[in-house]
Amino acid sequence: MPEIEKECKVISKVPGSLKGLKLLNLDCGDITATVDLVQEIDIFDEGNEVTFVVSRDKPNYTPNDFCAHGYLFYEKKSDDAFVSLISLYGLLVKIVSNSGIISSGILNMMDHVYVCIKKLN
Amino acid sequence: MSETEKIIKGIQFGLLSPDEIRKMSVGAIKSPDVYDEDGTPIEGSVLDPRLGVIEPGQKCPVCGNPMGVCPGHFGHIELVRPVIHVGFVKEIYDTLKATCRNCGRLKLRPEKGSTCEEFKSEEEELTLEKAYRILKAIKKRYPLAAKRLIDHVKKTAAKQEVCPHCCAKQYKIKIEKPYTFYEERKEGLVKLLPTEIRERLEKIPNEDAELLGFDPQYSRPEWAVLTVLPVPPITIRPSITIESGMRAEDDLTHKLVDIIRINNRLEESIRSGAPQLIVEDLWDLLQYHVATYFDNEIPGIPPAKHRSGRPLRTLAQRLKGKEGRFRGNLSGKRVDFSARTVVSPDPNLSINEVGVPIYVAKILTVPERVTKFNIERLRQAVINGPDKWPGANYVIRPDGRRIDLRYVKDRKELAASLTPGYIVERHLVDGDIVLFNRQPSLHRISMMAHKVKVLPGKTFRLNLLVCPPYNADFDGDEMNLHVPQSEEAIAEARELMLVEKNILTPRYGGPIIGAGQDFISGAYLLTVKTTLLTKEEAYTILGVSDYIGDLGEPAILAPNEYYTGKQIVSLFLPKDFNFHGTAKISSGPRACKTEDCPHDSYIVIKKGILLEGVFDKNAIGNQQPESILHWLIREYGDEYGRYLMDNLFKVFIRYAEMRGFTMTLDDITISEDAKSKTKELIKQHEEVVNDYMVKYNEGKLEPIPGRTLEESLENYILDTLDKLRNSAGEIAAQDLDPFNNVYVMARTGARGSVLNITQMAAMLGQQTVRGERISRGYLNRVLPHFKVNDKSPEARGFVYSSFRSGLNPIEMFFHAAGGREGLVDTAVKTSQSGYMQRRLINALSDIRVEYNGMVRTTYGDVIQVIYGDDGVDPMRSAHGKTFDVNRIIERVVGWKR
Repeated sequence: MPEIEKECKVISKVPGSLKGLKLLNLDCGDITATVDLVQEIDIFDEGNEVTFVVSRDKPNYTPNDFCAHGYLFYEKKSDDAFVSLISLYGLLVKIVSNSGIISSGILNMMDHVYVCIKKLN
Repeated sequence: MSETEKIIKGIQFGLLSPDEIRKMSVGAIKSPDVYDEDGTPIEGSVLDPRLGVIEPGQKCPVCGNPMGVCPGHFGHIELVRPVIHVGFVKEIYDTLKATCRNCGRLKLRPEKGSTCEEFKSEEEELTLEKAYRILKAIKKRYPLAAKRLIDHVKKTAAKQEVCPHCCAKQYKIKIEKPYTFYEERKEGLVKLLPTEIRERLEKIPNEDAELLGFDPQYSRPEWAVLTVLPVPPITIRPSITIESGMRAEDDLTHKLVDIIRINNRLEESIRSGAPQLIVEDLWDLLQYHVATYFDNEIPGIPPAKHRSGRPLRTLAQRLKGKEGRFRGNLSGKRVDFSARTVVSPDPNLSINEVGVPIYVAKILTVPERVTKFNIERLRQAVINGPDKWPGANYVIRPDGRRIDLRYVKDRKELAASLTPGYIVERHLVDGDIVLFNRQPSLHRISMMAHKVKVLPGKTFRLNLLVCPPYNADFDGDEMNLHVPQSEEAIAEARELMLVEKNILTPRYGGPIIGAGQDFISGAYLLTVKTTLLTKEEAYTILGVSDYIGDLGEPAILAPNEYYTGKQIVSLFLPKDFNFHGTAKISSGPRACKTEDCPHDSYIVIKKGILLEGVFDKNAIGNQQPESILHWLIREYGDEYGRYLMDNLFKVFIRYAEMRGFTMTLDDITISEDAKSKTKELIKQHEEVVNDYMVKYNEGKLEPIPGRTLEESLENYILDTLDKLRNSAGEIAAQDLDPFNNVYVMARTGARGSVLNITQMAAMLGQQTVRGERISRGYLNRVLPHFKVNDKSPEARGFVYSSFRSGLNPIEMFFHAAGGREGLVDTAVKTSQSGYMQRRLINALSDIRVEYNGMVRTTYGDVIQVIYGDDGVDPMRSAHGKTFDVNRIIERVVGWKR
């Protein structure tokens, strides 16, 4: 059972601040996520419906999905929201939530996690 | 023979008296001829056998010792007329001025007062007795104060025009350098002959001589005028036989022969009643020869020359200077078991290694004692002999006899006869410890121990990471290599001087050995988060390292499998290492202070995993204290530091090679749009400069406090033009791709700076000499191309062009003028700081830290109660601090942050 599994929509894909970097913005209802992507793994378009999964165990995935693993290494409250960062050995996944992932006890600092974004259709 | 220990309490310097010279002499030397017809040295010549033996098999007629044991003996030359000792001209001059020409007394007022009417002195003036009393009281305890008193005495006495003791009128003494004295009498300048000078000096009483700085027991003033000249032993001036069988004499011998010849001629002239003029000419010649015998570089007289035209190397030349006896033969000397050649780079060597050419390895040897464990290897080395590496050059038998393998016919037989106890001087082989050094040796890490790696080629090979401590580059630099010979020396070199033990510099505790240039570029490119690697690519770059272990699951699993650069780096980090900090690229628009950083410029390592941020100069650079590299070495040891540099750093350059790293003109070419913006900018700033000049001409310019109006104008103009270059640089920066390779180098700290890019892409800006705009050249203008008194930017060295666009001839001239200053500064600074360093080292070299932490001189005087007043060894400290609390917290719980 994944720790986080949300149905989300790709609301935008914008250039990141590094050459070749793109930021995928996901709206998942109570959370938003920003995922670093580079050309080799850029399989999403704006408007795509996706499932966003964060899990301690390795989820099932296909070559049509994006799936990677890394560590949850940062969480801070800024303004009214919690910002949590997962590093996929460099590429970052930034999750903004109301209750936080570590603070709400879903995951712990430096938990090894899998992050997958699966296209719904 | 019993040996008694003697402790030298002090050294007494003095002048040799004529009697002393005669007493220590084995005989008078009179003959100017050296050899008789059958080639034997003539008795009474400068090669008199009594002066010592230099031929093997001969016995000294004086002491009976053979060559090597006989120390040599002095002879002497009786000078027909006295001559001035050129080394004491100043003392003679001072003494003549301070003493009476008639009675020889020091011209200080006696306490009871002078009986001479013409003698004038002020009441408070120093008296003779008082001066003597003070000198006696302070001489031993305060020698420097005594020296000042003596100077004062000389000065006061020299002023007196009448002797307070005998009332004789005194004349002014003049000196014509180097050694001619005159007296300014009524009738004019009268030359003082050495005989006369000597007579005057003889009259000075011992007490007065003491007040003039002489210690009469060891040096009377008149001894500075020579009547007898010592002839040094032949051992210090040996003759050599050249190939043709001709004998070549030492320069000193030549000089002594000259002295004897002139001395004899002078004697002959006097005896035959030659005219005074001829006698004086010969006397002057004798004076010249004796003077140049002591020092052949006296200003004002031509140096004595050999027949070939080469100046003779006489006594002073043997002693002074870099190649003189002290600096060249005593403080430092040529050594065996050393080699020198050009260095060239080899990134595949360990930082601990040095590549040694086979040619060198076959000449340098290590003495290895034969044991039952190494006997077979050493036998093979003996069989290989001196010409086949790895062989041996010598075998030393247990009885101490040395066998030269070049001349052994049957080396197999000798090898078979080896038994434990023999010593084999075998060739240098891989793993041997050697000392490697590059001059100038300014700090202790200019000389470090390396492990030998014997390689083909003719140069010493060096890992590039070890360049900073030696300050070496590969534009033709040469380095020296020394082979320690004893087990103790080898062990000491290995344990204390090995490169890995000196990664942290004792200057400030940071790593002096670390990444630079391409290592940094490679590290950045590998660790930046946009770098993804296929499995094959990961294998390729890891292949250059000794990494053994699982590569793990790729970070990206789908849509395709990719490893990240950070994943590769993490393989080399200890599993409990934590670090937070900013990267070098964290500046300007890409600055980050927390983990929430979109630019990858904030480094986070938790539990040995590089989670965020790039490795650049701040993380792994050389001479970067408190960096990731610094903490890794401090916390995990030197050996781990070496492991990182031999493996991870190699991965960095391997990645740079694989990706490709270059620069192109495009990297520094700005668009037409940017060019037109720059032109507009130039126009605006020129107007500002013009405004200042108009205001200045109208006298309306507001002066800067403390500066003249002209200086103020120059300051305003310089400020404006500086702003112009900065703005042009900004336009270029906005126009260029910040991720092009040139920018990558500048931002990561690998090479170059933003200013360099500005000058390449936008404009060179103002060229200065001594911090000011260039203004010298023609009258009121630098070059004839400008109007007189033109103060405009272009007339005073402002360069609008960039290196990319090229400079016009005038701009090139200004740039060369500015560049010349830099070159001169470098040359001057190097020589001045080198000399300063030498003086400091000589002054401080005997100070040491004792086992109890005290800093003492060799005499036991305490300099510091505890080293550095805090007892901290910078090499083992946290960048000068005893400990760094923040780092300790980070280390233990940093991963929870």
